[in-house]
Amino acid sequence: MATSTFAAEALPVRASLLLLTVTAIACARGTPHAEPEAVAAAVARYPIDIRLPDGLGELRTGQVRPDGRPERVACVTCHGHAPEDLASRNPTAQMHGAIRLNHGELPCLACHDRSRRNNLHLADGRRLAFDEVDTLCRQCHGSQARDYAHGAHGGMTGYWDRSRGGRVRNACVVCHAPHAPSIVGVYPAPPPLDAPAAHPEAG
Amino acid sequence: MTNTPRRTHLKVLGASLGAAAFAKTVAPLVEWSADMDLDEFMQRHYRELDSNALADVISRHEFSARDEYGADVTIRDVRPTPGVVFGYALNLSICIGCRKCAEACHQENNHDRRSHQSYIRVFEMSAGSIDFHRGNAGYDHPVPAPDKYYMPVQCQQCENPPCVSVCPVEATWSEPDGIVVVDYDWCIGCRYCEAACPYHARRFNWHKPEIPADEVNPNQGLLSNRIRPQGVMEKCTFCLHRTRQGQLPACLEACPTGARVFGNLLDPESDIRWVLANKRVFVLKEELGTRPRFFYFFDV
Repeated sequence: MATSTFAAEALPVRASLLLLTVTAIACARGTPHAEPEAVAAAVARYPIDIRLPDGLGELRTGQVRPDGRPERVACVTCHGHAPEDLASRNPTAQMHGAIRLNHGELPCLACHDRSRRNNLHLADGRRLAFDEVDTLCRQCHGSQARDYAHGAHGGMTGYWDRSRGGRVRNACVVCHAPHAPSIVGVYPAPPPLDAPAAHPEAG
Repeated sequence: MTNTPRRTHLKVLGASLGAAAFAKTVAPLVEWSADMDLDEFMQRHYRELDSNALADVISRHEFSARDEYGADVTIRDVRPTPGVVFGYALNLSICIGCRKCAEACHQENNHDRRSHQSYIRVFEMSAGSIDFHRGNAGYDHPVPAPDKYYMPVQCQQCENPPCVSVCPVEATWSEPDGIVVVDYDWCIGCRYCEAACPYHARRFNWHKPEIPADEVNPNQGLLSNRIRPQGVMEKCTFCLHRTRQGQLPACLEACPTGARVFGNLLDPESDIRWVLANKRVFVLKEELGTRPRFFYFFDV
């Protein structure tokens, strides 16, 4: 699994660790202490690492490799050599046929950059690398992004107390396939054997 | 006519009866000696243990885990952190009923494998209703099912816990960080607390728990997930052996959707406080006055 550090979290963390270090050195040298407020504000917090899915920037073609595993082709195999001569080929049917798009009414180019297909783009046209895909999702899914930012959406592991340890969280596309983001059903873990049975009159 | 007077006869008879009665009285002590030593019998309440006695208790339990389960375990007595009161919130809008939390609890807390026990019971509820009478905790089909929502129920860590006030021997109490714990060595197994709990959150060890050696979680807390003896009550402790060291509880880490939010209620910057301030939050059976520290909320 690739990990990238959530930029908004990482920068203050590094800054505060630096400040702590500076304060410690200053104290050791006998220079006056920093203001108590400044020290309190500089409590070190461990970072939140965002886990990205395997195969980001790769495409499942729907073909099967000789070893039986699904064939995956990196986008850069064909794209990323601008300018692209897309008119001379018919790649959509050839390469992208396995994609079942079920994401509202969005067309491919709502997220994928028209001129650089190895990139995504925001609504304002700014290009994004694939590992910044969360920024793209946040444009439309604001309430989920707000909940996510407050730890109330998306699984996590690690520490509730970030002065004692960090957390690992999932990028949006770990759980939500970008082309069909609805969660599909799962089979639950087995019930406890003492579970009260459904009441007879329950539907 | 005998040489001994009648009075002496009566004395001998009385002494014999007394000796027999004494023998009968101490018989349980003698009979128990096979699986219960004197130290265990004389052990004081958890809150009366000094550090030496505590170390003895812990090493005895570690030894018995090795002896009875073949597992090398480390038992620690992790104390509450001042300035921390734990709260837990669960998002009913995104829980899909996968029971991964219950499964993680089963493994983390060294539950009996035979009964597949867990401190979490997930109810499948009909949309638009909160009638547990019609809920089903034994569902076994793909989830989420249409027109259903899922409501995991575990110990609500009440501020006013009825289970604590009914305990006749004070074997269960509320800790400063809000976690209701059980001294498994002091519990007499009367199950009053199980009856008193309005959330059905307590479990009784009808049997000695069965756990294969390689499945025993060796990271154990004296008041939490150490393997419980037969005949005592147990309950969710918000994984205090983890959470008192800053870690998230096992059920939260297992949740794939992020329906669970855990943190310090006294920290205004915590995730749990954000949920309480910004979401539509309720507690179960509020009218009973138990004041749970476990909250449910909806995405709105």
